[in-house]
Amino acid sequence: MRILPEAMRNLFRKRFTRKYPKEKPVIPEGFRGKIRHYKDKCIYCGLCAKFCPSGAITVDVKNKTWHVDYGRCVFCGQCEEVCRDMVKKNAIKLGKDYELAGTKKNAFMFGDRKR
Amino acid sequence: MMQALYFFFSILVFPGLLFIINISLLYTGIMRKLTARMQNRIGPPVWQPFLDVIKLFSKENINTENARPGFTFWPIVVLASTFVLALMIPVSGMAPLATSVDAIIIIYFFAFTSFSLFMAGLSSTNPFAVTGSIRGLVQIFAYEFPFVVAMLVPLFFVGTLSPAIVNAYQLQSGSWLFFNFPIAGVVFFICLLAKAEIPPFHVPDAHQEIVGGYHVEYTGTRYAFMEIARSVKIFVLISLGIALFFGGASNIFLFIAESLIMLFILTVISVVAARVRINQVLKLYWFLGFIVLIELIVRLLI
Amino acid sequence: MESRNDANRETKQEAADRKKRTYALPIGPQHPALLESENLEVFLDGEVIKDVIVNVGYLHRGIERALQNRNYIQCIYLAERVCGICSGVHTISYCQAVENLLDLEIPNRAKYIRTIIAELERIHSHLLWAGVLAHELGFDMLFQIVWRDRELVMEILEELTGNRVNYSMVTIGGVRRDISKAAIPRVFKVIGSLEERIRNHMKVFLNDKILLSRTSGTGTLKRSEAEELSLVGPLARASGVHYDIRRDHPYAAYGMIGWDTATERGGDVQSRVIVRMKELLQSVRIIRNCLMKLSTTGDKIRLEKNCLAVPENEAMSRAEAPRGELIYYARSNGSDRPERVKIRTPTYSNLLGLRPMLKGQFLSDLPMIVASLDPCFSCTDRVALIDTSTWERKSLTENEFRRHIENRRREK
Repeated sequence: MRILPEAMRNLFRKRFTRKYPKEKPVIPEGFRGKIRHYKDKCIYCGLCAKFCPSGAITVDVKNKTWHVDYGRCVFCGQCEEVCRDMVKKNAIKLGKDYELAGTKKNAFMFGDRKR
Repeated sequence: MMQALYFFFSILVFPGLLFIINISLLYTGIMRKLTARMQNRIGPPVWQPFLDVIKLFSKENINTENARPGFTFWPIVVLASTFVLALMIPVSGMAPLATSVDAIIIIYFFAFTSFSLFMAGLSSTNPFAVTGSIRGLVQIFAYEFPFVVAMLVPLFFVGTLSPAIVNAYQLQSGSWLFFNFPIAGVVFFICLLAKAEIPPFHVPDAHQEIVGGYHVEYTGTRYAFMEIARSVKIFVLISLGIALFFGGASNIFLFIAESLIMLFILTVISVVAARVRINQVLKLYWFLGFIVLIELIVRLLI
Repeated sequence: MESRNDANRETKQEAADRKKRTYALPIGPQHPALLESENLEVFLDGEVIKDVIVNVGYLHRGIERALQNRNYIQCIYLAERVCGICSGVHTISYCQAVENLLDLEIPNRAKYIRTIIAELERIHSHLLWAGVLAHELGFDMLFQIVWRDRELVMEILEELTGNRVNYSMVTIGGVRRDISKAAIPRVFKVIGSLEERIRNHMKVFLNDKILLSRTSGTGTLKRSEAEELSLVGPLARASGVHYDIRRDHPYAAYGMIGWDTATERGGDVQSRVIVRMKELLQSVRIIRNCLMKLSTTGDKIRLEKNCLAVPENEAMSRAEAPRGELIYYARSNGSDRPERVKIRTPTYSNLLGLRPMLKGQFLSDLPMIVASLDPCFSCTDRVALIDTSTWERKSLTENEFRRHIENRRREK
């Protein structure tokens, strides 16, 4: 019975759940979302691919192509860290976009790969 | 001729099957919405049970290999007996199939409805369904006695066997029989909780333990019948409570208002209580049966 | 390897008796009472449980083998995904093991931040567990509002680390992100409102009549049984076994701040509820202490150390996951990949406690008792072979397993 006051109060309180997609949540800074690759800063060293835990990034050093497979990416941010700390180029940044659902398999490849 | 037409109208439309099915599904929807609001979330829209039943009618009937012939037969029986019951309980004083010896038939049909629901569970021969049905039958064994005795108290007081006459008596005297017989009223209310499988007595439908209980193998039209029967049962119990204990109702609007208040109280109880174990249910109800029997005997002698 | 635990070994006579009198109800692999797929064969006599056999193996993913294919940095993220709820502690323990291999001592600020993340995760895990227990008891209201308060923790973790689960905050040599000066007052505010809500929930869990009638006296585990079966974590602490890795073998910042462990003596489900509720309040206290110390420690959060050539060594590290003692053993061979990583998760030990806990209880209490053990089956799986004629269990090495599968395939 101790929960009765809470139950009664909740009838008049604003509901806690959200009617997504009409009401979207506020994403804080530093959220690890979709990857942005800056082609002008990238030197195609291939370190991001070497340190990616799931093998999502593929870099062709000779032909200078870079692409990421979102089917494999776990959004850990190791590529961003390696690019920022080891080679100091800041060519990869993880943004705030989280709505990454798709219907076709080739929608998950981002970068220089021919679709 | 007009008599016969009116009779069929009152059975099929108002206060007959169409009215009762729609309003009981609406009440179930209101209960779900209220529960969600109390839990600080949005919840389904109020007409969700209608959508559920319509969706269920469009699904195919899956026949399991080991099911007994009763698998098809019992859900129809459940629905039919619930409908007969619904037509006998006075809704704002009008009951299409009312006779002067209603109480016996009502008691029988109440027991038969619950019993056939669990027989439906048993006939699907799934170990989870069997466990749930056995628990349900044990629960019937627990609450049937206090329920019947609590029902008999106001009937014996007014000296009749028809709830419609008790309804009229309450309207005439202007007082609620609940205040004359508080123990019987409270016991009736608690037995209502067990009969309708509302928390804390939702033992047969313990989906965390036995994956659904008696209805685990059912889908499609048969399951739709069982869902409708469940909703109608709650409405019927509320109407019976109003007719016997809670003041009766002279017109339909007062009836709806009173039944909504009772529904609200039922929802609050269902939200704040955890599930009780089956042996605790037995202990509690036999104790309740004992005290309501005492009250019946005392009132009869005085 | 034979099991040496007498409480768990069944004699042939017992097995024959059991088969005669009871019927078996399979709980799992898919069941609403279990969060992940496992199989409990429950032998029932009416409504009373006579025996239970736990069959694990439905969630085996080969993580220990996969860890040998990746370099040390990549392994951090794989170790993190062993479990969703204890992911922070897995990373901390793995990084500690590698830091022991490299003989690294991480800066103090990193230790405090690691502790804060670990304790926030413990709050999140215990709130999840409390909601699940209420749900198993049919008390959906409590389930919904406890999980609503858990959202507060997830949001602050999202702000600090960038994600709600799988925080990826910890790395070899320290932590990856700092808690900025602007973020500290926000964390204090969230902790304050969390503490008030936790106290409200505690009042309900400890005083609600129906809850008490179902949790007191059920699923009892005696202290001798807990010690004999080597149970760990809040499960053992609720039976009176005073064992907490954070106090007995301190890691991160636990040795540098003041806090208490929570122990009870009852051994039933109610004691486990009390232990976990008390641990929630202690976690709030630890986080507050760490946050206060953060403003006075230095700025360095990370030691840059080359992990591409780790010298030959072997090391072990232990941590207190929300469910108990978590052990990581790592062996290096001079390359940039670990040669062997062995993970001993707490649920793997705690599953042994299911048999004495469930014997003689009602079937309706089974989900509640299994939930009170707080099983995290995704941490658990290893492969074992059972010989049904002699009831002997043994585990296989990888080569034996491969040969076994090859033989079966050739037979077909």
